[in-house]
Amino acid sequence: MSCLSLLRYSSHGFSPSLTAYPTADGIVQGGWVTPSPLLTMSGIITTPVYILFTRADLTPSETILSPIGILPAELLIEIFSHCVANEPTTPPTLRQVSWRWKNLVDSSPRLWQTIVLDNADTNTRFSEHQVALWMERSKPLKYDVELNVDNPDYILPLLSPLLSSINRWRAFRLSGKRDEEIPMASLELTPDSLTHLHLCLHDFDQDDFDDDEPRITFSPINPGQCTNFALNI
Amino acid sequence: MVLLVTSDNEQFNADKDVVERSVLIKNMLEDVGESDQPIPLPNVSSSVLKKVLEYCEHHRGEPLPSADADQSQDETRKRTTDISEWDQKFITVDQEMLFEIILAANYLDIKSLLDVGCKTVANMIKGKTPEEIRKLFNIVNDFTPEEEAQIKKENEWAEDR
Repeated sequence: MSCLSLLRYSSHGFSPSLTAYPTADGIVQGGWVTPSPLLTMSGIITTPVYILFTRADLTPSETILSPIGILPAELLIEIFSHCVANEPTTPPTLRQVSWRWKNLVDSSPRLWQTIVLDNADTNTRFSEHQVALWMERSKPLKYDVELNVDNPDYILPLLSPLLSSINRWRAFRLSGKRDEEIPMASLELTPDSLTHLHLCLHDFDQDDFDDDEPRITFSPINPGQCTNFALNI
Repeated sequence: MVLLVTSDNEQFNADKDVVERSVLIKNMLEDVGESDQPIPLPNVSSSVLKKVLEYCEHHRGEPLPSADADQSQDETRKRTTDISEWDQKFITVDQEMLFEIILAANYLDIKSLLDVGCKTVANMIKGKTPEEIRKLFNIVNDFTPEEEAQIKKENEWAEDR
């Protein structure tokens, strides 16, 4: 059974404060982790269908009515990807505009590749359902995990639902007081190989760190051993 | 100087280092070699090419992005939506011209201009409801009331915290 430990880092060293266990179906439970039932996605999630439109697909009336109608699918998707860079929660809004936009958004995994986890009570916060939806819709691509929390107690509950697909993490990004990103590809982490994850929290206001030093690291606890990882943030 | 011919048969003379902001034209020139032959651009009208050349002229000499610098599937969200002041002013055009510029930038393979156009449209969409987006771009709502209600319901379910 895999075990997740949340360790706090202080000048006195590490101290465990939470342990959580993924269940057989990949749900992390225990400690502070809110049970996160896997969602029944029927009716919402469908197998991605790749639909590409060309200018020939447009009816003349659509082009005349709407100048944006002259853009082929790939350029609309390019625009949508900039919308997502502005606001990662945009895809549901875009797919409500018209059938064409809905088909494009639903068949473009790259628009669903950013999952933002934060504990702020704002419209930009992803719900648990949205996290599951983004994980599903971004397939077969990998996705980015962006963490923005001001209270460390939220870190593990927010990350837990994503650990069962850690092999699909493309990048892990910390935003908020400071922005930093680490690519995950080189780590070759899989849900099976990751048996222990230690979260080490640094208090950067108090600890002495060089400004140029990378502050997030995701590394094996012991060199050459790849089941026991430390996420230092 | 390079001679370009637009879809409406207008001819434009421009410096080589200006037109070579377009990867398409750059490759054409490399393939053809030294020649006085005009380059036909059947997908670009004169009014749009005029704007495109204005952009290329302003950005003359700036480094071109490398071919593999921005592979969309590998890039992460760290793409900025900032647009420089000059570019913002340049792209302040009516919607018809804006989308024609985007099409031309894509056809001519001018990545930075394509980005400016797409970012501009994305910024126009930012913070708007589906209805406001339809209104902005004059898009017909082609959902039936039942379909619209269903999609709305799906979104509300997903947003449920």
